[in-house]
Amino acid sequence: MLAALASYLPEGRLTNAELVDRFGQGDAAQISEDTGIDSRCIAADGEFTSDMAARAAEALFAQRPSYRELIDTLILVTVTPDFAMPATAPLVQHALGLGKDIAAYDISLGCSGYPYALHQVAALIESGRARKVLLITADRMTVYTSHAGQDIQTLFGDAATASLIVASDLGDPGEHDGPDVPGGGALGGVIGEGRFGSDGSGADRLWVPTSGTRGFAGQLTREVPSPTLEMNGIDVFAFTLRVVGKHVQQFLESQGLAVDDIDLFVFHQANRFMIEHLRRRLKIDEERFAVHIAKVGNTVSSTIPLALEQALADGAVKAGQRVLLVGFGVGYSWGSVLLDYSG
Amino acid sequence: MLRSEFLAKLNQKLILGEPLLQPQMVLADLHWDSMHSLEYQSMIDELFDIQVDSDDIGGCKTVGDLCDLAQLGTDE
Repeated sequence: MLAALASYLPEGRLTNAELVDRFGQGDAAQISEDTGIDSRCIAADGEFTSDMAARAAEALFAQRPSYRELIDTLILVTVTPDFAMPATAPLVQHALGLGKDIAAYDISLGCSGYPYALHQVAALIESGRARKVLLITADRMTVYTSHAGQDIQTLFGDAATASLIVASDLGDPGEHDGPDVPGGGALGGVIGEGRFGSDGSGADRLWVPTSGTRGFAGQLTREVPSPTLEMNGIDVFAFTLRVVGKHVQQFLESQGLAVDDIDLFVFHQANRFMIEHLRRRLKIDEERFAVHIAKVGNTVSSTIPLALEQALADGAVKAGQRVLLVGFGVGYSWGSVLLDYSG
Repeated sequence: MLRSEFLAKLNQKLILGEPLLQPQMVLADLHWDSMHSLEYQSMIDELFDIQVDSDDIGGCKTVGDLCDLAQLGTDE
């Protein structure tokens, strides 16, 4: 059961007006119109993925204080680890003062990462191998975008989220471990079925080519090895058109469901243009389609939990409702997971 | 769909104004950019369930090439 959600947004902001000024071209209002983004969060100098991850987790522990002692598994989803080695999750474990007898590891996925991770956490809990899981998404994307072009700097921002996922037989942790809060309390989301896909032929359409062993030390090394995100936006959109809509339809059909059976869709918030297209193609009402990108930008694996957190805070999810989370992007990788808010 | 109908819709979607798009127009002269390409991709996906990538669009030099890519016949 997804029992509680929290997030950390860095204080720094990059506005559209600043982008226009930085690149000497474009129109701030048009950028908002095209992308749905007015500003994006920018981490401070010296603030990296593990820092943001720990701050999101601290926000979660403020809701559920006793869980700092109870977590048995920490999973961090990120494509911007602090280092190539070690994994970032142990750094977060140490920063949070969590027990040394817990499992802590990274999942290296981007925009599809949250549904993938929920699927894995559900499997761990259903098998009895975990009971109380701290799932963090965190990406310090602006490290990779600060030398990129305007199209990339327009889209991406920094953020982190923390999800508390517990075995359903533990009941609602909000009843005895802390006050009811947005994203938690009496409303827990039971993680249902999932469906996933991968296509590595699209790896170089959205990537950091001067990173990793092949990129940094191998044949792809550039003259200036500053790791910079590169994106072929047209091909990424083409992938989205070819794959994501059909994926959602096939998944729903496999579950005996139709679009109208879903009370809220939470798609990866790539940009408004892309997700609005998907919404129209799938014939989803605006009221059942979460959009939460204007003040944060595309925060990679954090977009879905951020949008879900906002929807919960807004009361857009009610007891008995069914939510579908849909991630897609870098990899290419895609996946969906159902959440049942049985109340 | 006739080419003329398609071009009228594309003209409206891209907010290009006058003169209206004609098949012989050269994309470079229209200052065709990535946002135009995305709008075009979105439009032909919705209208014809056709998906094209950057190589497909990069091979188009004129508005008529875009019509061909969308598998539109001639108006005659």
